[in-house]
Amino acid sequence: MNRNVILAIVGVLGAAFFIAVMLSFGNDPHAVPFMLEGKPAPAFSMKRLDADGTVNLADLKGKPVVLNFWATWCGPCAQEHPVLEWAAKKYGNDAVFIGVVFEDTEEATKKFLAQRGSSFQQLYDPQSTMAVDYGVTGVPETYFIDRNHVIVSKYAAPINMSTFDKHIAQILK
Amino acid sequence: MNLGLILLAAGLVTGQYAPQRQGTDPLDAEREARVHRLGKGLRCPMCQGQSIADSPAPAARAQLDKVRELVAAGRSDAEVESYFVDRYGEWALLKPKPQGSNLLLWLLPGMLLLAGLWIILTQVKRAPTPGAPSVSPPKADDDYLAQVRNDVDR
Amino acid sequence: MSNSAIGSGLVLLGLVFAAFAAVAGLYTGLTRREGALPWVQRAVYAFGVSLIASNVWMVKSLLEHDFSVKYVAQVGSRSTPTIYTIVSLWSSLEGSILFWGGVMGIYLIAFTFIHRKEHGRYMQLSLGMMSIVAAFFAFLIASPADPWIAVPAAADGPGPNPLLQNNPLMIIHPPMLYMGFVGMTVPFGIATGALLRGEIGDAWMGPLRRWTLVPWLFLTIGIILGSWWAYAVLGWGGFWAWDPVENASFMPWLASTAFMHSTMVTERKKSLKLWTLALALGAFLLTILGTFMTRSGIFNSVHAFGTSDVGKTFFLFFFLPMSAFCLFLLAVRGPMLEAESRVESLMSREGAIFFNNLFFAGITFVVLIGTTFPMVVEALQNRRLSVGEPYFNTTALPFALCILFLMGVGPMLPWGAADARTVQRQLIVPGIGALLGVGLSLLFGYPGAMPLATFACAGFVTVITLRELVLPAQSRMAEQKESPWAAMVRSASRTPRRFGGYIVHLGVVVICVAIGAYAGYKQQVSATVKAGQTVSVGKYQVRFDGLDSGREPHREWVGANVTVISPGGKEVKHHGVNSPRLNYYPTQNRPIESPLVHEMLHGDVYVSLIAFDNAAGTATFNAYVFPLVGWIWYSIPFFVFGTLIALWPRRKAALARAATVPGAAAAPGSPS
Repeated sequence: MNRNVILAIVGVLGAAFFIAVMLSFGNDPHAVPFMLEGKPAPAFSMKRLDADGTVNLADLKGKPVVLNFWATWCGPCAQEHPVLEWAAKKYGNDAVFIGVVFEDTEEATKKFLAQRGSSFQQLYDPQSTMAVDYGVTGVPETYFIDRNHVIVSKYAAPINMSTFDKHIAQILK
Repeated sequence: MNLGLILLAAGLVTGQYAPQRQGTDPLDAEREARVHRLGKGLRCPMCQGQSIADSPAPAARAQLDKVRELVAAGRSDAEVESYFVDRYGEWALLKPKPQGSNLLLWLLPGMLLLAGLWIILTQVKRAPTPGAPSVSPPKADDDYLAQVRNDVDR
Repeated sequence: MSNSAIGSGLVLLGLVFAAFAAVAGLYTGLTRREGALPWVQRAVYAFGVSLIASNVWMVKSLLEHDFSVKYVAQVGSRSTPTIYTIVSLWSSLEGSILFWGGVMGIYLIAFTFIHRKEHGRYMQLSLGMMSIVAAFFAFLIASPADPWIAVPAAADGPGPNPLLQNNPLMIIHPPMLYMGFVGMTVPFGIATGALLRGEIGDAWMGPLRRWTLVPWLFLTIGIILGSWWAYAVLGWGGFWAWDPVENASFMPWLASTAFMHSTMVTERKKSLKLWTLALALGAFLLTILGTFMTRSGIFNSVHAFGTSDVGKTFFLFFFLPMSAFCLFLLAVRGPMLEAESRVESLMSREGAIFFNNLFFAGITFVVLIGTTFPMVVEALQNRRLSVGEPYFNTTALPFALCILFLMGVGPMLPWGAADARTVQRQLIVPGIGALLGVGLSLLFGYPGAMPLATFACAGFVTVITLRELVLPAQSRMAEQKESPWAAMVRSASRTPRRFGGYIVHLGVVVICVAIGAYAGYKQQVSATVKAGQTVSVGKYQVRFDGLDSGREPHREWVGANVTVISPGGKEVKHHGVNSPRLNYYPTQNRPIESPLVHEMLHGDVYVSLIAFDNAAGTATFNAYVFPLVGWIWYSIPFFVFGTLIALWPRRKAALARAATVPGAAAAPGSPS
């Protein structure tokens, strides 16, 4: 084969690679895709942590749901906690607020909530089954689920007030 | 054993650190091997690039539990995979499905191999004339090499 | 003067010297002003000294805990043990690039000094090219990745990444890799210098090969130690995960190994010249690509340094121009690299090396495409996907097996063309070796296609390699009536490259057998037990003796005391700091595992503590038995010993005779 042909092929492949690399700067390789957006929320039935009884997604028919996955050892979760308290007071009548604690102990969570306040119900997911069903990739993560129990969006970082307002507007429509 | 230290460390664990957790009980050997094989092919979302069978992270253990649950429920390999693909897209599979542009991953190495093979064949002289001695006597390039060959080829 | 002023002053000085050496070397080299060589040499020495001094100064600042230096503030901590404080020189992005510059300094000084009497123009061009690389790194240290920035001094710092403090292997593994990576600059300089000069004879092959062998050895050791580290620290019982960072070090190794083989064909047969040079340049470019991959923040990896701006600078102003330049050189000088002879038959040494190179190129390509494919697809199609271990294992392992087989075939075949009957006769004993490999593994109850194929090839290669090692000595013993030892030493010193090469081959066989046994026959159990209970794994019992804990300045740990009971009933206690542990670092939410490796020559018992419940007194373990796995790292002496023999200077007389190869285009007085 002609040497120049080989060099040309190498050049073309190299050019494609260069373009791809240039386009890749700024992409976060650690970001995990989330495919459940627009899909029905997975059913769950979990023990309550702050009171007796279990919570069933099916029992919340017709109500928008805000799900927050968190853990006590996670610093950003503690930062986010006041925002959720504020949001639960503001939107508590329009949507159901549910916190889900996983990869944590019941004891530590109760202590945390007693110290920092708890204005919405908390579930305990000892085996992380619910977290796996929801495709959780870290803590904290907040899911916004509409009346028909379709996941409208997920926010995978500590949320602030204005972001929360924007996201919840989508499920209250 | 120092009980005081244990209590201290354990107290520390509940406050600042994520507790470690154990997985669900293993199934019978055959199905457990399947769980492990499936786990090897699924990417753990919380631990960079490792499979859920390899990663020591609690999240990976929870996902492996899910695989075990699905296998115990008699689901097929494809169904187990699609459970994770539904959540994380094809990103969850450590071995991409050979479809669309993913095919390049498998075809390009093969093409390279064929091209290389062809180049090697073009480097070879035409077949020697029949009857000619099939061993060409080594041409001595110099005394030193000849000496070396002498030592070696004996 | 503050530490940061002195440190950054030294880096700037180095940058100036390197830039001068680059410009002066290339200009005077291209315009044939050979009188300028001493000036280029002095500039290179000055660069090396400045960068080494800057490194020493950084170590001093780290030891002094001078938190007014940005890098010390980033990785230093008063509670870190001293040895890890020194090691933190290369534990984070900026420091690692500074260290890189220091290693570059050592290499350039060594190269310049060893070849100080060489032909001027040749050296000027080579040194000029190396100095371009050196100048770029000095620029990186001086600006985008400056570790010396003065910051307001804090009382204490966070300390280095906990993963790096978990095991002493981390002290030695990164410098080895860096020495491998940086060292590829030297063969790159030699090759581009030769290409620029346009004189491509045999003269440059010797230095080129030797200076590739040096970083190749470091790379080999670095990769093996890295896999040992992963095995001993990460707690998942594996040693190689095809992680982008591992791949980044593997690719230059593959390319330089292929180079080492193709260079034999180039020297003997005067063919494959373009390919050999392309491999030398490729090995260098792959080290640069690897450096980029670990530092750009666009590849996902356990080992990668955090996101930074260094990546873009690196790519746009270094990797891109360098690759383009290399392609250009090869294209322009290609016509001068025509093969002077054709291959007579593929049934020959050169035929085997052709295939060896094809398969090495195949693995390199598979690793390259597998590592970069997710990034390319995301950039061009906005689709996220993963390429991991299962892909690499299915694609790369068959290539590796072919190479292992060729390692036996190649040395058996003569140069030129082989006589079929001779080959058949020679195959008998190695064939018995192959059958023995299979038979032994079946005898010990080890079935499975891949491992058996590996053992068969291993037996085959071992017999041939040993025969090739011993035969020359035997003939000396017969003819010259020498003692076995003297005959061995004499025959080795007559053909050091060949002898060393075969010893390295034996090392590769050892690794392949270990990997085959590990992959095929490992056993795994996970179980939760109370104190006093045992976990059975393979023929071994692991008894849990209760929880333990401890506190060190930089961490706390919880351990599970265990006793490993071998089939014979022998008990070995692993208590306290030797137990499988979970280490808790103040800066990390999650504990880091520290598994117990109960090392034995025929295999390891490996126990990691997964979880514990203090109230119930239980511990959850993953316990493994890995047959032969330790031999992956015990093989290092083969590589060191073999490479040192191959590097050993040949006797002057032999050298002089070898240099008078007819047809060598070397200029009179040029190096050989």
